Amino acid sequence: MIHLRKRVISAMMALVMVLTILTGCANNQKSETNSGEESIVVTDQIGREVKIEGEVKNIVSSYYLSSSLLIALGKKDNVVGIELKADTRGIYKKVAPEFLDLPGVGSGKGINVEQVAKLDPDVVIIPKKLKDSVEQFEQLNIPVVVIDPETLDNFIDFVELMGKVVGAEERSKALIEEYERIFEEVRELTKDVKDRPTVYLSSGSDFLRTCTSKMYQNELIDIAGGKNVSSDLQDGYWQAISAEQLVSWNPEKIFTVSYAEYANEDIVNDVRFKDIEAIKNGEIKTFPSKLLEPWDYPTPSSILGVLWLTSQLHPELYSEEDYVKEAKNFYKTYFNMDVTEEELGL
Amino acid sequence: MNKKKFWIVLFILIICVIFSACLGRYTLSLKDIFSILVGNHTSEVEVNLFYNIRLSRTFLVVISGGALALSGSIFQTIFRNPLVSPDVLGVSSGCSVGAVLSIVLLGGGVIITQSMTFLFGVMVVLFSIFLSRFVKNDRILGLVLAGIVMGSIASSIIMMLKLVADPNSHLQAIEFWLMGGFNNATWSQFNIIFLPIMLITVILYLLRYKINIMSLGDEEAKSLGLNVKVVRIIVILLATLLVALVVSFAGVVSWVGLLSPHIVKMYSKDDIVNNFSLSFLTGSILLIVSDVLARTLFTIELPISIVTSFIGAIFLIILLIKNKREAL
Amino acid sequence: MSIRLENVSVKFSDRTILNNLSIELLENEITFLLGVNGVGKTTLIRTIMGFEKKVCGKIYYNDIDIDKMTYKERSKMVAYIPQIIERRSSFRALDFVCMGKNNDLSIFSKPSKKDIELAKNILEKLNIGYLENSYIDKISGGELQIVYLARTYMQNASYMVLDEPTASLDFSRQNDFLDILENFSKNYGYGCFLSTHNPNLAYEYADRILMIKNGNIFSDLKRTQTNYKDELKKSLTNLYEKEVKVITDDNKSLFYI
Repeated sequence: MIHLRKRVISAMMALVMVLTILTGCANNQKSETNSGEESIVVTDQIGREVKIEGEVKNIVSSYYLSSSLLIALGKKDNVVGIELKADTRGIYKKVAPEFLDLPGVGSGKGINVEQVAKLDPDVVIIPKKLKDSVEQFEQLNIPVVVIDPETLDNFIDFVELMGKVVGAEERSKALIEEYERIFEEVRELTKDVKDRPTVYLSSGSDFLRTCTSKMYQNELIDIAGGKNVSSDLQDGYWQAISAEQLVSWNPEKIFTVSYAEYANEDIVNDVRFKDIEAIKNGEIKTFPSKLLEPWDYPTPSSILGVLWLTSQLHPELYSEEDYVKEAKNFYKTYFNMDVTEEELGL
Repeated sequence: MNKKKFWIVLFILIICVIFSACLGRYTLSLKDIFSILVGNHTSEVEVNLFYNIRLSRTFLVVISGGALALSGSIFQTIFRNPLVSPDVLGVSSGCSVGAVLSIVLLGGGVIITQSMTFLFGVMVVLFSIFLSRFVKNDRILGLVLAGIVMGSIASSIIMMLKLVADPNSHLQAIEFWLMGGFNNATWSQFNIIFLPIMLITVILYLLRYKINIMSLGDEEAKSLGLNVKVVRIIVILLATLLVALVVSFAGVVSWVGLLSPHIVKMYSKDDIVNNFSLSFLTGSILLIVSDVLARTLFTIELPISIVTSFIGAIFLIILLIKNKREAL
Repeated sequence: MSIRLENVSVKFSDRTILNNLSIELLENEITFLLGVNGVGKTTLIRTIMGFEKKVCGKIYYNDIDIDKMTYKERSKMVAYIPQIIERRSSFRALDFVCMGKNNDLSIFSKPSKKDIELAKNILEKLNIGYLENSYIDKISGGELQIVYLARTYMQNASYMVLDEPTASLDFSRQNDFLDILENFSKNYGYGCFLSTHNPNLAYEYADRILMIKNGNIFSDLKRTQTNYKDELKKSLTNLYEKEVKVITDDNKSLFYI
């Protein structure tokens, strides 16, 4: 009988020992993960709470705007996967040529989740259009941040969010401050301007298609001291108009976007438009920057579009020289690159 | 042919043309138009607007509407079915494939798009005709089935191309093209399609008696000595060309081909021999009214198919009510 | 002008509709075709007109193989009057009649003033001049039948084939039409071939009666032959597989079962 008791006690002690060792190991492991590494929680632009653990070393950016911003935030070396058609981006070629060799994982249409997983990312940035693929990433335990930088306010939030996500908060704050500073300055400059030139901005696909009051382009023209001829168009985004509507508006200045599928020359030679003031005076220009990135909608350096447009519409308030100085400075500071006047749209 | 009806319809068309010349986002009064035509108008802008924008667009619309309507009448006669539209063999679908291909893969330049549109429209119809040969006994049925098949294939291709399209620029252009519009009308466009459309119209006019006989059905037509196979192919191809020409410039304009013959029937019971010019003119009127609405209702330019579809629906309801009354 | 079928067979998948037929139809005869429903009357008519595709054997118009002729050439010899159906296109009777002139017009021509006069004339002669401007989808079946005759006249052919012309006519109108047809045939020199259900009409108007059963023409009777009535009775009995009797009154005979 005593032998049995002994045996039972020994067995139980052995069991307790084994359990302790096991839990001890487990605990040790946990504490190993916890020590020295932080996790952050951010709210992305569709309202999701995203937890990102540890340092963000590998970033997959499936949208042009975030990829470009990552350059400005100084994190271009952490990018392991990029959006498709990267070779069409002038700014990559200039300051981040390594982007062109990265695997292309997404476009406006869809993202290849498996391909992304192979790259072992610490975070994946996707645009709102692709939010349906969020679940797949979550199942693979890959943190995914959804962005929606389409309007001006959203863009600023986007910059702030990205700063948090990739651990470049200082830079993102500085960038935002720069945007806000420039906006304020330009607003001050133009707020009392009496003579606002009438402006027509045409879309990429068709010259007879323009922006509506909802869009960033409308605000852009307003801040820069111009009057958008299509500002009373309220519905939708890019809208088509008839040739005679344009003649009726008779804008003093015409700007075509840098990614237009038609040539300014064809517009100048089109007999229907010859009486429009802007055409008569040769005031049809391409909105920059064709060689870097478009500035007519929110992109990381599109703030320069505001400056450029102001110098175009009101050279008496803001000269071309001042513009060039400020623009070159911006690119040097945030993108660490030197730019030519041509690249600045002149 | 009822001469009186012809003159009345022509008169209505002329009134519509005048309205089209006056109305627009830039209003010109009758007095303005008169002085422009006479040559002593002061505002050069208005002269230019009238000639180069308004008038070119009006003329283009008149000839397009007529071509589409005539094509519709002919298709309905040949297929002996009042519900048939020129797209029964897939011409509009084919044109769409050409246009979308051009926009997405070839840069979407104007000339390329127009050529591709025209080419693919004709190609699809030729394919439909070829496919129809597999149905031995009933040629008409064969054509309709082939048209359905080609139409489906075209739709799939367009859907695939839309997948590849750049949502920021291409998709918009595609959607707008698929809904049609005359806002890019110029004299050079009119000059290009005027002659071919007039030529084809004349040939079809000369063939009108044969077309009439075809509507009796293959066997009766053969018994009257008509080489049905040959005439049918020629007529179908010509009617298809009419549509392809219009669509290559204006995008898909829906309903005119289907609806116009019915409107003609509402005021003239005759066959296509007697209604030939009325068919053409009615289409012109229908499209001019639609175009004026499309460009004046709002500041933005409405795609024309939206207007024609709306008008089409209204007319259908009228027709249904009318038929119900007659049946009772 | 004669229509001759030589060893003509028509098979649809597994069924043989016409079995090795050889007959000759002559210009100066009105020939009636009797047969039970679905036995191949319409097929025979379509074959004679050259509408059937799967035909073995040869068909000759005036000793010319029809496969070697164009539709135009054929239409100058043989005209066709289809069965009157309810759903019709909408044409003015005069325009419809002028369509008969198609076999004389080139591809781009239209009927001349003379042709139109001729059409008006024939409508008058057939006592339907008042229908000139009526639309054919609004006139009665009987009237349309005669309009078709007028169109046939314009074709200037020498033979006409009619598919069940009396099927949709009232009892009272059947004889009227056949009287008109008889006159037409005599006046304008058209041989006629028509199918019917009604043996009595055949007896009254035919110069020759053909009967079709099981894909074969088993009976070919001429009015002028001796024992016409009796032979007819026998053949009808064979055709309908019931005893057919005949009753005579006032020089008119009636066959009944």
